[in-house]
Amino acid sequence: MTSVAHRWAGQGVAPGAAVAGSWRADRPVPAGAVHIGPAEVEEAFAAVAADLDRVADRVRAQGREAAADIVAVGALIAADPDLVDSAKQAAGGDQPLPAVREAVESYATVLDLLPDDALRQRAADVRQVGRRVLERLAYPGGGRDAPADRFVLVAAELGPADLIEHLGGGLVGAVAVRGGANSHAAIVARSVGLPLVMGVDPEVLDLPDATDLLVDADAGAVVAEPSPAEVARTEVASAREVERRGRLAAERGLPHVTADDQPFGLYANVSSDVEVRLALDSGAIGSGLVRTELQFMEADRWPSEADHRRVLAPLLAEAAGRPVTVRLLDFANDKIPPFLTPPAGLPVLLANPSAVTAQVRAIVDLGRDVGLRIMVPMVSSPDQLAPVRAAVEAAAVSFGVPAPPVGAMVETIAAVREIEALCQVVDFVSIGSNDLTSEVLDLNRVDPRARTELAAHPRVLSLIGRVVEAAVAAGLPPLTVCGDAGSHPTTLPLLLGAGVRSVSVAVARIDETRWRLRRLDTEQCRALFTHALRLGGAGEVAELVDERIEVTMP
Amino acid sequence: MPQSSEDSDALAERVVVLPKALHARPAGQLARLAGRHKETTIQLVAGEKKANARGVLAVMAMGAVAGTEVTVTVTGPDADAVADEAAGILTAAEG
Repeated sequence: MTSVAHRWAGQGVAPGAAVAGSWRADRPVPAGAVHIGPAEVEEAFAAVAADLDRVADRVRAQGREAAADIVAVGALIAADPDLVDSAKQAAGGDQPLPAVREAVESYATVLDLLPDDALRQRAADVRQVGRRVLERLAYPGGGRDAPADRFVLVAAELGPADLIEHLGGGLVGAVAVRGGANSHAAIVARSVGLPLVMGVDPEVLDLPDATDLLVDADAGAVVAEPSPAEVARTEVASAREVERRGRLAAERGLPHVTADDQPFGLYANVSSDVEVRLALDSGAIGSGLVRTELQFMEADRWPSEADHRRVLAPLLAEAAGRPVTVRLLDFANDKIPPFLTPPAGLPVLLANPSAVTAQVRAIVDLGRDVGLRIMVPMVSSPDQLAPVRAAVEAAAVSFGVPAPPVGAMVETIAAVREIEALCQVVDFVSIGSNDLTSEVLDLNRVDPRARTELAAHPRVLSLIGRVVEAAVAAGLPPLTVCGDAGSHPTTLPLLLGAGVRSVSVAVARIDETRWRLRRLDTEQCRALFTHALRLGGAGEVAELVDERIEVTMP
Repeated sequence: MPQSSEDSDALAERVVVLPKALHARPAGQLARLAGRHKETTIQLVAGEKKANARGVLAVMAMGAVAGTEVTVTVTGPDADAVADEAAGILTAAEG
């Protein structure tokens, strides 16, 4: 083979590095003169259904129930008698492959046009089934099965199912031309520890299959035909990482108690149904923070009730039976859509009562099957709760359901100053450590200096301690810290020391957060926290934590 | 499959109100149920939309949301038991 030594830059959206032969997931199917008829089409659908069933069984055997369900839906679609009949009929003509493709597309389009987001997403599953059927027809001899050996997946665009179906198989890394850190594929990749680089030059699609490909998501690089030294380095690092993740995941299902037997709560921050699924697979109890604004970052007006329903329905359906805290739209700081002008935030939301009503109605109605709580972001004064509570109560009456608890996200200095009064008008409080830290230390959230470990600054810690005390004094339920501090090695022991017993963290951090919490001693953390309050800065506190707390990680 | 002549003419009907939207999971469970009872036909009707439960796409394409009234008509062997099971899938709170 000719040398294709190439190096491309991209965005590493899921950390890690791996090297293996490439395999293009979406190689265009030649439309040429393939001789097929209805019998071959029927056979191809049956084979694809059997393939997907096998994948689903394998994924289920690995304990990934939710992922298995996603793949199993694909198998049922491939076995759908209407779809198969329509494709068989189409295959009777001169150009069977394009005709079959069109037949599949017409089914996908029907789902595309439904006013339900969860069902619209199934359209992508129909297309994926169609792609597999066409590949099977176009490449006689069993279609294009993924390599049995280790491989790096390459595609123009990746869906979550593209990754899930190869989990536990030979998939060690992935590269995509389109997509970014918030795509579902990126979320899946982070949660399962699969290195993924996106935004790579389309040239990468032209590589022949089985080209040696190195994916270094930490460096944001993709290298074709890397040097032996690069390969060796990457393989050592990636083997170590796989083992580390396996040991962290092995503690799923163990009791959520600290080293001294204090129970703790472990929740996930989520913004999509895929994240909910992955979070529950990872052993989170539920969600301590559902972000509702991310889907509306390009909105040109306040989202309507129907808009909110579309976004929330699949997510809340996935979380059925679990505790879920839904946060109202948090259009502030780095998250301001074009129709608002900075600083936006809670005052602007409250100045638009119909926007509050629209969202609250969607949440209350769709949240019947979950342990629902509604959280108000960026609260700066106790009187901001009354209008939200009124909207929640009105929605509860109109849907004939009990009114869910309404609480405040404490993430401003102003809220901490009035924390005692605030605790009198809420049913619960949560702490947003990221914004609180930025404000206390006067950093912009997007400032690269706004690092998680700065929440260890004594000024931030003392505010957190004050909020915990006030919540306890007011008889509120145990508060949850929603922010990166809940999963950071330096800040997690300090939070425990401040009396925090519940954290909500990124889906990818659930396993390691549980590992740490199960090894921390609350009494020891309490002493650490008291000592830290007397220190001069975040750096000194970090040194103290290093010295006093030892949690051996795998 | 054991089959008696009076059974194969059996007909059973159930009317249910969906507690939640008819998404992929219940649609898949219905398709599997239909697959286990090949001699039996399970027909769903919601308003003007109809679907044979053996087709997961047709069932999803009904786009039935929470609160929709769905009539399940089952004909063939074990009609009563199959109708109960189908109604159970449609009214399950979880899944």
